[in-house]
Amino acid sequence: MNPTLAKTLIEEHGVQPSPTHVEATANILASLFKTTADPFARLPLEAEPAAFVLEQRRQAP
Amino acid sequence: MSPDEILGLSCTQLAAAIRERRTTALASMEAVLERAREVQPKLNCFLRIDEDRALEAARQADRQPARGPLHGVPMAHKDMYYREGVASSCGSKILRERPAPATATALERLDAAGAIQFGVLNMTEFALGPTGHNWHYGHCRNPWNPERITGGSSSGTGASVAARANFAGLGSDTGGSIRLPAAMCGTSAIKPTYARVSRAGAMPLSHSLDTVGPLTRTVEDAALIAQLISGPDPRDPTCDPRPVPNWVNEIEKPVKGLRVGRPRQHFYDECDPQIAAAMGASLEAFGRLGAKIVEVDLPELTAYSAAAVFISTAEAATLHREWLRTRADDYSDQVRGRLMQGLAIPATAYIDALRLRGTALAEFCAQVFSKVDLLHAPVLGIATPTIAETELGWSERTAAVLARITRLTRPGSYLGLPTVCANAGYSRDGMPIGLQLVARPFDEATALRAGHAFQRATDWHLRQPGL
Repeated sequence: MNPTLAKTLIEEHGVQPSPTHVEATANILASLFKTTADPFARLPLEAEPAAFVLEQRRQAP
Repeated sequence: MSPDEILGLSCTQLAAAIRERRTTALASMEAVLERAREVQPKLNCFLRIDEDRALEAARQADRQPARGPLHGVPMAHKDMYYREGVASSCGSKILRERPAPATATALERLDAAGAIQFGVLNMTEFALGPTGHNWHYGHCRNPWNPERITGGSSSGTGASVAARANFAGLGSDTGGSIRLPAAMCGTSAIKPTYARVSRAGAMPLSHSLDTVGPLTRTVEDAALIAQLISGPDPRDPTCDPRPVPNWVNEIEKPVKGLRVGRPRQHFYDECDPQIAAAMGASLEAFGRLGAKIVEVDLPELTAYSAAAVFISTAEAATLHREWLRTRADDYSDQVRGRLMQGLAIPATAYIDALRLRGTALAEFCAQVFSKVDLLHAPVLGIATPTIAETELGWSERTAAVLARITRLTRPGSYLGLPTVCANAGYSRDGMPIGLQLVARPFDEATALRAGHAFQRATDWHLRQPGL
């Protein structure tokens, strides 16, 4: 993530981040986006958050 | 019984001793209060001790018939379980004086079982951090070596139980906060299945991941306390409606024939050799008990951890946004930085992380629990860090340090899987090494049974730090 964008997104909430926190946010989120890009891209149209609860119940002994 | 004899008992043993009049609730309370006073200057594990009220409650308990299976047992809990009208600091400066709106369901259930709360325990500020540092109230220190971290965020629970200054206490777990202090302090614990235990009256950090559970002297105690606090609760709409099995009875069943899985991936990557050796020895112990040890392949877990960070950070930032705007200076730097990061997470990433969760759980169960009944693994793959080397403000480097600590626990939070922790030995420099037994959703019974059998066959959990 671009540090300028990270700063803007945080400031949009009325919160004032320090330069260190802006840089950390940009780099950490960029890494998380990269790690999750493939699994998120493979999600089927029908995947929805509530499926987790159904799967929990389906897997219960 | 002497105070030392009392302090050496588990909750289950102490409750039996009180019931059979071999000791009293008052003698137990006096013993634990004395021990708490003794260790507090060294460990800083308590945030408040309610001595007069606890002694009076113990006297009353001795005059009354037994209320339940924990009648007269002293307990202290992480300072984020509310009692109506009493301030719960949640390890923060911001909430240190706010009266709690209602009593936590978990506390109500422990009260009904006869337990007596005598204090509240140190914790990471707002439960956000895996080390046990607290820049407002002082860092909690590990009873096995006060220069080392306790693990967090349930730092005081781990330290006080290990130091025999508490018989058991509640922790909470969003990314490892029960399992890590249990492993680093050498206690037992259970992180139940997500939604098994009501979160009503517990400080929220991340609604989709927060899980309530106890840290204890023994797995048997973990079974008892988890059973008492689990089950449906109209005050928590996410709480699962199914009835709770009798884990305390089931725990005695043999483990012969149980398939215990050793993961081929992730858990042993870059693992400290002493930790790997302790895991190997504990697997041999399971083998001697008649369990079948099976090597299993895992799905890729790194993406699960990243997705969990999206969820926990976005949800926590939402809860804290107003204070970040108006009281930013009242947070420590590390917690403020982590929370602010959540404000920059796009809604699409947060929602995708939630959408992936059902698929991930199905994939993990198909790959692992089709072949084994339990996954056996270390809780922490590195030596317990020192307080000094993890004394960090928020930066990319801090994130990397903390990610190494939560590397083996965060995937289990994302999948919401029940996990029992037990001490599996010690490093050459005397620090505990923790194992985790991970079961399929709502199968706490199997993990508890295996953990209990392991403790029947070993004595790691009986050792005490030489404070």
